[in-house]
Amino acid sequence: MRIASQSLQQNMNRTVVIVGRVVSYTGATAVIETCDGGSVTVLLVPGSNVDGEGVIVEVMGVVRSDLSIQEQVSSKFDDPNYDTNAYSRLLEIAEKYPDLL
Amino acid sequence: MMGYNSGYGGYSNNNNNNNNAGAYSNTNAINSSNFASPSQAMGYGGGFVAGSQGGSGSPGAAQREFRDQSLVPVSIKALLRARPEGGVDGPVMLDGKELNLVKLMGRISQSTVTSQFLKYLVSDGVSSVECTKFIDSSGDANVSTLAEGTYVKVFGTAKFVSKTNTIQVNNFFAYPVASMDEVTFHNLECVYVHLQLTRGPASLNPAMSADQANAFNSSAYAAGSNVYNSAHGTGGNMGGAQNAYAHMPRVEGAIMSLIDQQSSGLYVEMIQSTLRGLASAKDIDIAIQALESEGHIYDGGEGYKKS
Repeated sequence: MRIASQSLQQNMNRTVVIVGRVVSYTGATAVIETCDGGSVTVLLVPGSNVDGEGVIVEVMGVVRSDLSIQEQVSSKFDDPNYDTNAYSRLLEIAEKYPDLL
Repeated sequence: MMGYNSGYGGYSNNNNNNNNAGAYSNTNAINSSNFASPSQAMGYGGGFVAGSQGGSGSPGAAQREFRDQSLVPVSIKALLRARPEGGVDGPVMLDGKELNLVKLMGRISQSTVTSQFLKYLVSDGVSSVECTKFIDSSGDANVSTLAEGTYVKVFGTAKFVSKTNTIQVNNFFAYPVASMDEVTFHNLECVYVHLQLTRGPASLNPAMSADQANAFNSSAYAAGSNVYNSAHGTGGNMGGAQNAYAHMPRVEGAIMSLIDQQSSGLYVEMIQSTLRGLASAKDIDIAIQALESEGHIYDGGEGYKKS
């Protein structure tokens, strides 16, 4: 289920997919800024694809009770920009068609 | 184009966009000429010539030549639901459209390379699909293996494997995805195509008649193929009924036709299982509710009946 930072609360303990730009990276954790302007802390796994700041990443993981995400797997994208408006619209639509996306 | 169609019988399977395909094909004045996909442009029937009408058996060899080759973008979750029509050798269907070439996007979660084949397990969220490709033993220079974890777009042929009862993608080509925007676009396109297949092309001008709207909005994705109808062996009747409901979205029209044939009422489950290749159970629920609220059908306690 693709979400933005505002839906973390209602997806506690569920596996979600979050996309954003890495604004801070410490090796074990990273903070990413999502399309709705919120910040999400991600606990990284060893060998994670998240390995630097300024990169766009997609993280799949479980939402913990403190609303951070425990990474399961992630991917990074070469292009340092993406259309946040378009992505927000995708999220709205994805919510309506859980069978599809 | 019109000349060719007149050779076939009433079960001609025009891959065009008006839903009159079950009817005698000479009503071609409305055929749109701006077909996007080659099979539509040919104007041939889908191969259900008069001889094969009764049995609804596997399509004759003639049909395979005219298979719809348009590229369909799919989400992996939806692709895994596709199933072959009319037996395990039939064409793989999703949302009423035959799937051959598909485009999907996801992460390579596992990769297996041998001297003979290349296999990626591509995942998007929680769904995964196996993509395999046989490698030419002479060392094909075009095959380069991508690392696990790479986000890729994959183009390949959707095949149903009866042994495992799953869908696989064969003979694929995979390219790394550089920008998140491609992911956004792909996902949106999947939803768009799904809606177009299940509800019909977006009508630009409500004042247009259904036939005009269909001709105007021809698209490579519109599921003109009536494999579903013919496979159920009720070609003639379906033709007539389809005409009556051509103004409705595809799924609703199909439901109305079904209910027409069963005057004593049809339970939701029957409708869902009969139309499995056309729409998911949830889509059918939504369509039934829409029909009920518009007053076309009502629940008689023993299933839905026509009002």
